[in-house]
Amino acid sequence: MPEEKADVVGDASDDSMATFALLDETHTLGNAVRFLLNGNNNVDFCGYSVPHPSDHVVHVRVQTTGEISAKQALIDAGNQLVDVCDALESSFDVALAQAPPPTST
Amino acid sequence: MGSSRRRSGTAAASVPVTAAKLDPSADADAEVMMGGDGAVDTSLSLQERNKYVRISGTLVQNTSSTLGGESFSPELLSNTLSTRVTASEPSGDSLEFEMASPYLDLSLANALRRIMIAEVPTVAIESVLVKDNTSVIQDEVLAHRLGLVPIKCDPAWLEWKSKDETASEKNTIVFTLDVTCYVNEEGEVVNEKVKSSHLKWLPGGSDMGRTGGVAPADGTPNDGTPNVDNEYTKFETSQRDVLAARGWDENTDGAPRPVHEDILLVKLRPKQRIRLEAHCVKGEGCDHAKFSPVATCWYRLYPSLRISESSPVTGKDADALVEQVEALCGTKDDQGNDKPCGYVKVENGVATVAGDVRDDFKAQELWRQLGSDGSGSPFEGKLSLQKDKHHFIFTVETAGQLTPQRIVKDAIHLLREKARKLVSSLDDQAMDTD
Repeated sequence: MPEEKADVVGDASDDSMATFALLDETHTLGNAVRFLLNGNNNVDFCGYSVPHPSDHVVHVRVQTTGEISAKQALIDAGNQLVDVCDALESSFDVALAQAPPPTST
Repeated sequence: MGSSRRRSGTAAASVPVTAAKLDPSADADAEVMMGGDGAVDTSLSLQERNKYVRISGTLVQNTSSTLGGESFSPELLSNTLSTRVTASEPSGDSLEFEMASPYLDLSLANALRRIMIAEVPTVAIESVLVKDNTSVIQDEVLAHRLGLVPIKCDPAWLEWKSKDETASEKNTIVFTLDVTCYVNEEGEVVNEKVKSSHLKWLPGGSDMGRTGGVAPADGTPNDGTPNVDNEYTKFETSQRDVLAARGWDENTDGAPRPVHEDILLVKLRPKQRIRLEAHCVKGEGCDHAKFSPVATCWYRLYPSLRISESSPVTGKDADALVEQVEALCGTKDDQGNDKPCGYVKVENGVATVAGDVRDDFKAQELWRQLGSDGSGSPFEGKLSLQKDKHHFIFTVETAGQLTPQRIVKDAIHLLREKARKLVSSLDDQAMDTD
């Protein structure tokens, strides 16, 4: 169900900067996305917050250098996270295949 | 050494940091600055600061995890990522594995941990219909106890059920429990203990709300004939077929059942009876802890010992250090033979680190305390415990519903699904506005 999941909060006049509200998300995605955005050289500033612990929403602030739009930066981060998960899974699969036999501790 | 700069002992971690910042006499080796992320030890190279958290006494330094201005790409991670399983129990109840890469950040490791605890779905008892309960345990308390019983039923076999949705063979597993305590002819009390093994699967759905209100008189579970005319569940085909279509194999998986057969639910006295039905649904730990597949799941950073290069431990101090560590770790092995100190040795009068303290928490703690400022020890400011910020030792202890291997895989899949949803919702927005 790709319902409205990412909204833009506040001023949207300049597309190089925006605050996105990720609905039904927590620190889990917020912090991971923040890390990936901070690793993007076209991103000047990025931070995330959970405005209220009772609201199931995460705000992600993105300001880019102007080379790409803030939205594109977030899309790139999302795609990178998919690739990261692929890397984690294949690496974990290899580890399971090479795992030593179980021992009791 | 400036023992007045920082106080060890019971002081909170933030106190010594502030004191160090204010003191102009701080020497170069332990110069401390306050940054946005806490204390930074400038005596270390940038590379080392990015790699290790450094701990001596109560002082914790270099906690921020940055890439040092480097850009991130998933290829960098996948090319450098190494994962290995380091321990697992023969029972299959726990798994320890390590993940390491200079590009593996805390935020990614923590996302996995959080998902394993709160978002990997399992099946648990959600509602309990009590027909008869003459025991001393109240219905509500009994229902809560039943909810916490881990259920062996793969969540992939079931669909999600929303609150107002009708319970069907696709989204609900029904268990019945009918136990009467009595005294038999030999004078023995039978069924004194009601255990989780008394829960029996009803593949045909609820027997309680059957039109006409007839449950099998002898309390034997129904045979799986679908029970359509029912107030509580609407099973239209046998649940066996529905589960089998989603990967269930009766011969290898067995019937849905409690993971453990011997969980004590209630104790009865003769003539007391409990008759109830327990309806299970698929759920996730963020909704209720009973759905969490892990007893717990955590990670720690790979620890190592460090002796300062700029002010090494030499001469008599070096021998004293070896002695201290030996006093803790012992000088004999299991067979009673002499063994050298595992963690530190003296070479040309200089103490050097000689061993891996990964699993020796006592040695880690000793090292941390010896390096503490204000302790008056000759090792003040020379010894520190360091932890690799990009090398995670995960431990996953399952509650029994799923194997730990499966929990990790499910968590990775769920994180990927989150990322995909984020991307697709942003792509949709473009189409809306254009």
